[in-house]
Formats: sequence, structure tokens, C-alpha cells
Amino acid sequence: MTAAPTAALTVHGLVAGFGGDPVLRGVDLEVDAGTTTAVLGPSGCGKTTLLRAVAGFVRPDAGSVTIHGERVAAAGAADRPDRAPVWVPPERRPVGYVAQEGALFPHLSVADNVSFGLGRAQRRDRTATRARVEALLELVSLDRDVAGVRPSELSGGQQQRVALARALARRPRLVLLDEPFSALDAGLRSSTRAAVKEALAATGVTVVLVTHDQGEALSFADRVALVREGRVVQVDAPAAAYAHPVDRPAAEFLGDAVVLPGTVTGGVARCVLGAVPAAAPAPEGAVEVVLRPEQLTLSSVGRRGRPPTVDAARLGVVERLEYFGHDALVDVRLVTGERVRARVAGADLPSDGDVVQVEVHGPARTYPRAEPLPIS
Amino acid sequence: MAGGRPSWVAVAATAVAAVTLLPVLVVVGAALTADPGATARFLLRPRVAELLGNTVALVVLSGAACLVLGTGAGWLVERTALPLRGLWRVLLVAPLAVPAFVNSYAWVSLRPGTDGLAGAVLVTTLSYFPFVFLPVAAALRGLDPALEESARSLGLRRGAVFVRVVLPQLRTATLGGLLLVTLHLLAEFGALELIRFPTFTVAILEQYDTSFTGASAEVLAVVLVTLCLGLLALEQAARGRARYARLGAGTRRRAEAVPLGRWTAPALAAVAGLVGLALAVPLGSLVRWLGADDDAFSETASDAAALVPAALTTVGLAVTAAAVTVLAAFPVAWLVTRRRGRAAALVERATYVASSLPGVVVALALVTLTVRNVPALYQSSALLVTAYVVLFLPRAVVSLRAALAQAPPELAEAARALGVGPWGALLRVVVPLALPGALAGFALVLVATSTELTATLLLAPTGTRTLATGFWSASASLDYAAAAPYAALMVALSAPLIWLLLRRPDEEVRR
Repeated sequence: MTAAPTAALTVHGLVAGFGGDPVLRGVDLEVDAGTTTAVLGPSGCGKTTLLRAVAGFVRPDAGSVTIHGERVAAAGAADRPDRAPVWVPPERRPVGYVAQEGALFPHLSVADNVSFGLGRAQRRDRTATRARVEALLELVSLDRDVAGVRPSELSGGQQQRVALARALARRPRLVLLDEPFSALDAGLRSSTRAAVKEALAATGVTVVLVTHDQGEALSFADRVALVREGRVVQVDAPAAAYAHPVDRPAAEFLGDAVVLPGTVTGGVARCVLGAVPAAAPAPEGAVEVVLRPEQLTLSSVGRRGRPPTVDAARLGVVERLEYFGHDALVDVRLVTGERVRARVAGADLPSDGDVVQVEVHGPARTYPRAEPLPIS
Repeated sequence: MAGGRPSWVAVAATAVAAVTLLPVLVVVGAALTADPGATARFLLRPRVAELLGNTVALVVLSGAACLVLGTGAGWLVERTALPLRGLWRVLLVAPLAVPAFVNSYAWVSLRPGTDGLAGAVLVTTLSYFPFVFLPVAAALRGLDPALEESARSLGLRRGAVFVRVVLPQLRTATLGGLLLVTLHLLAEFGALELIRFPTFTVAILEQYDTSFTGASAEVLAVVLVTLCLGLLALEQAARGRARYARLGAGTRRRAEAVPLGRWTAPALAAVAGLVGLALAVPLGSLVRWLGADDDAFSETASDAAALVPAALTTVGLAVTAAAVTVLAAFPVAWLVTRRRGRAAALVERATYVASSLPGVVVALALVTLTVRNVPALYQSSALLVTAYVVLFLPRAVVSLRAALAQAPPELAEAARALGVGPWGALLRVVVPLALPGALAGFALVLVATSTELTATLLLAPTGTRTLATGFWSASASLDYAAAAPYAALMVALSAPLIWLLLRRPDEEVRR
């Protein structure tokens, strides 16, 4: 239970909400110093409340928050007088917080925004403050000319970078980002994300990012913490989380998934697509077999040459094709009636109505199914 | 929320709401304790039926006229290619800077035949139609043209788009404006007394002047309050639960102006005519009487000597009232913007109910209250200021609400996350952002107070003469020339109102 010496943030048994049903129902999370963790979940799952509890804007009803070994929030226990509640107000936490749309002060210039959190004595020293502001703007890849303008004259992406520079000005040990890119349009989002990631990497600060965008979580972070209904259900490296989701809803939230009924015997899952090695842990018996679309390949039957072995059960008709340029998602209706989705590289695409044979590569995830289906 | 903000805000807001509700409680108490038989005998007299008929006729006719003129002018100015739109927008709001009783005086002194229902409808319509024009113009400006374009591409013609898309979205604005007009009509005393058109409010003051017991005045007040509350309920019901919020993000474009073609000249004539009647006539009449004053052999010097102290008294009272009102509005506005929820909405509603009562009712209730309980306060400046606060609180609340919305909690949170304590966040973020709105609220109350007549007549300490009461005693004795300088000063004091209203046109203004 004691925080490991390298833990930048330890959240233990956190329960919080706004009266009535708690939004957080016992969150446990540990974040190592110097890492970037994405807290990922659907809207309403409590991820923003978790971030606000760490920042000090939400008081826990139970549990505790520890930042770099200092306990900043802990609910007291009525029956344990030795466990008095602990509450450090937001301004005394070693935390930098970037709100959803930046929350820049509209009445102050960019420079005054960035230097807002510096102490009065520091702000008195004009030259030092200006140097610090310029260094911070450079860190977030903004031109120093923006120092004099009002926030309203900046684009959304620039505003977010100023907000980050402002949060970094106090040299926090932990930076919290609350959906910082969700208000930006697609093009701006990726460039802003890159600039922010670079700036954060340069400072080596610990980062916790809240997002509902799985692509953003997987690409931005070293670790992904999946939150559902007020609890952390899985914490893993992005690749591990994507490849080994803890359950079927997690699998479906982290990316496109093909779900088929099947059975596992001796580590091999059998489903309509044949026998597929089941990744551990594989429960014996009736399961749901979950595959990623990129694990399926399609070989054309109707046009050029047949596949080496034709397996009638794995034949299907292309029903729909969603084209992205670099690749495409192809929906195939199998002869047995099931629908599966395959990701196909953009160079060699089938067309609607083509007959294809589906092959599976790599292991499948398997999750226990309540009752076996009549036919399998 | 953060750090459990001390609930003194809630306590203060509740206290303010309680004070504003005092007059309502007095009226309700009077209604409950009155002898039903005597009340019935009093109310069933033909005189009361006549008052009721007059009041209803005025509200219906003048309300309808304001609705048509305000909506029409709003559409012409905001949505058509009318020449000089910017100028008309200002001139159509400007009549609000001329107090209704000054407008009435201008008409009566110009055309002594202005009287009866026709005269009352004419004068009150010209004074109050901007209350409809302002919100309608603001709503039309705020409508996303994409909605109308979508309707056009769904096969509707321009006229059908106006009826099926534009008008429904104007409902909140027109209803709000209409409510303001009717509440003003119910409360109006000065303008109607000069025209000799008795409504309930006029009768209450006459009753009070002749009997001084206030008993029959109180009974009439109960009827008047019932009418007011009925109107409020009616407006709430008509407004319904509809919220016409703009959906989706993205920037809003300006609407394309409808070309007027050969209708340009008639439209221009209509707008110019309205401005002429509502603004040029009263100002012209005022200038004429100011000139007459110079020609007259009367004591111009002593008039000026009386004018200066009246002006100073007015400004002193108005500044005090405005400062107290803004201070009282602050906890209410804070509660409404930061806490939301039912309790906060209830507190805000309470402050609105009292101020929608006519000034005469509030003043009478405060007289009753002090004479019975704290005689020392009766006829004191403190009581007069209290009446102003009760009457004009919503103006300050609305301004402060908008001001506090400029400083959303996220900004205060951002400041705290940057190592600034709660008071530091208040001083460095909330106050600078909210100050302009607070000053606007201050100015709105200032203007309203300096032209208030009815409550001032009833509550001003003996010997205290404001611009409004000075004007009143002169014009009531038909000394139009002597009244003119007071009127001119009041109009001059009210002029900033035009700028304030145009600066934030969606602002709701009461009385």
C-alpha cells in the first residue's frame, strides 16, 4: 500500500462525486515518475472527475491521493480519530493543470497568462520574467511574437500551447491534461499534439492525460489506464492494452473488434473461421472469440486464382467497403451468416459482391460466454 | 466544489430575497386580514369596474401596438436592406431615455386634446415599444442564418420561412418584451395622470392622497398585484419549456439583408415616422417650453436656484441606491451563476417578483410596514433607497450575471492550479473580468432611480425634492415652462441608457 519511491502519483480507493451516486467508485492508479499515462474512457465514466480530484477541485468521499510521496487528499475515517482528513488546496499542489479549452484569462496578454503563476517577486523582475516566458513559448513551439497579443487572437491550437506553457511555468512535477485536443479540428489536433508531446518530453515531467479518443491515448502515452463506470479496469502499455484487453467491452472500446462465438479446448479456440490459437489466459469452454480486423486477410476466390485450400466455411461475400486511402475496412458476410470485418491495405482491394476466403493470423482473445450457443 | 466555499453567499442572497419579498408579504397580509364584506362592497362599485375596464383596455391595445411596432421595426432594422440601419437602431432605442411621464407632458402640452384611452394608448405605445424592439432585434441578430437557408432549401418560400422558422424563435424575445410593456403599463402613474386616464395605479395614488388611511388604496393594490402576478404566470406558461439554443459549434455568419426594392421608401417613411412621434415630438416640445421659459417674465433665476438642489439630491440618492443595489445583487448573481440548482433559481425569481410590482404598491407596503413597526424609518432617505433597491434589483442582477459569466469557474480554477489562493483568484481574475458588467448594472440602476416618480412621491422625506418630483409639482399645476428644465435634465441623465442598452442589447430591463 505504500507508494513506491518512483511513483509520481498514487490514487488509492478514491470515491468521489457530487452528492448522490458517486462518479468515482474506488479508483486505484499508480503513475511512475517521468511517464505519460492516458486515462481513457467513454464520456461520463469519471475520468475527468479523477483528474479534478488530483488537481484539487473535487474532494474525495473516500480514499486518498498522493503526489510524489506527499498525501494531498485523504478522506478521514469517522471511527478512526488517528486518520484525520487531509486536504491540500489546489494552489499548493505541485501540479500543472491544462483545462479542456485552455481556460486562458481573456483580460491578460499571452505573456501575462504564462507568467500568471510565478511569484510576485519573480514577476517584478521584468527581464527574467520575459526571458522565462519566451523560453516557455519556445518550448511549446510558439513564436515569441505572440507574447503581446490577447488569447482571443490565437487559434485554438495556439491557445492550448499557451495553456501548457502557463502550466509549465511553475515547474510542476505532474502535468494534468483534460482532453486538451478534443476542441481542435483534425488537422490542428495532430500538429498540436505533436508540439505538446515534444514539449513535455523535453521537460521530462510526469503527465496524466484524460481522453475519450482511443487513438490519441494509444499514440500519446506510455501507459493507458482504461476507466469504466468509475473504476480503473486495466492499466497497460498501449500495445499490450490493444492486444490483450481485459474483457470484451474493453476490446471494443480500444479499437475495431470482430466478435464470434466459439469454444476453447486445450488452448485452441474454434469458431466459424476455424481453429485459432487462443492467447493466455484462455478459459476452457464456451467463449467469445475476439479478433482485430487487421488479423483477418481476404483472398479472392472469384477472380484471380483460388486460395491454396478452399474452406467452404470461411467463404464470404464482400458487403461493404469503407475506404481510407492507406487502407480500407471490408465487411464480409460469411456463408454461415456471421459478419466479420477485415482491414485491408489500400493497394489490393476487393469490390462489393466479390467472393473471398477469410484467413486468420495471430492469436485470438477469448472471454468466457455465459451459456453456449445452440450451434457452433 | 473546490474547498467548500463559505456559504455566506447563500445566506446573503437569501436575506436580499427576503427583503425584496417584504412588500409582497404586506400586500398578501392585507388581503388576508381585510374584512371580506367591506372589501366586496368596495370592489363591486361601478368606479372599480371602470378602473378595471380602463386598465385592461390599455394593456390590450397598447400591448398589441407595441408588439406590432417593436417586431416590425426590429425586422426592418436587422434583416432588410433599409438605408441607415445603424442610425435607426439607435433612434428606435432612444425613446427609453425619455421617461413616459415626460413624453406624456410633451404631448399634452403640445396638443391639450391628448386624453382618454386614445391618448393613453398613443403615449404609452410610443414610450414602451422599444421594450419589444430591443429583444426582438437582438434575437434576430443572433439567429443563425443557416437555419433559414436550410428551410429555404427544404422548399419553403421566404414568407413561409419567416412564419415557420423565424417567428417561433422570436417567441421568447417577444413574450419577454411584451411582459415588460404590460408590467410598465400596470405600474404607470405619471403619464396617465397627466392624460387624465385613470387606471388602478392612478386611482391608488389618488385614493392615498385623499384619504391617507391607505385602507382602500391597499384593497386596490391587492387587485393590481393579482393582475401583475397573473401576467407573470401567463408569460411563464406561454414561454413554455422551449429552449431555442443554437446547436453545434462553428462561427455564425451574418444574415443576408432582404432587399426592399420599391418598398424602400414606404419602409423608410414608417420608421422615420415612428421615430418622429416617439422622439422628435417630446424633444421638440421640451425645447419649445425651455425657450418659453426664457421669454417669460417669470422668475428664471429662482427656478434655476431650485433646480440645482433638486439635481444634487437626485444624483446623491441615485448613486447611493445604485451602489446598494449592486452590492445586494452580487450574492444573488453569484449564487445563480455558480451554484445553479432549484434553490438559486428560487432566490433569483423572488427578486424578480417584487420588482415586477408597480412602484406604488412597493411604496405603499413600505409605508405600512414602517408606520406600524419602525416609525423612525418612515419618510427617511433609507426607506426611499430601500424602495429603489427592491424595484431595480433585477437590473443589477442581470448585469452582474452576465459579468460573472465572463469569469467562468474554469478560469478561477486555472488560477488556483497556478498557485494562487482563492482570494487571489478573485482579485486577479474574477474582479477584472466582471467589473465592466458591474459598472453597467450600476449605471442602469442610476438612470432608473434618477427618473423614478411614483415611489419617490410617496416615500421622499418631507422637503426632499428630486428632479422627478420637482417636475411633477410644476406640470401638475400646468406650469409647463417651469417643468421643462427638470424634464430636460432627466432626459440628459438618461441618455447614457441608450448606449448601455445597445452595448448589451439582450439585457432584460425592468421598469
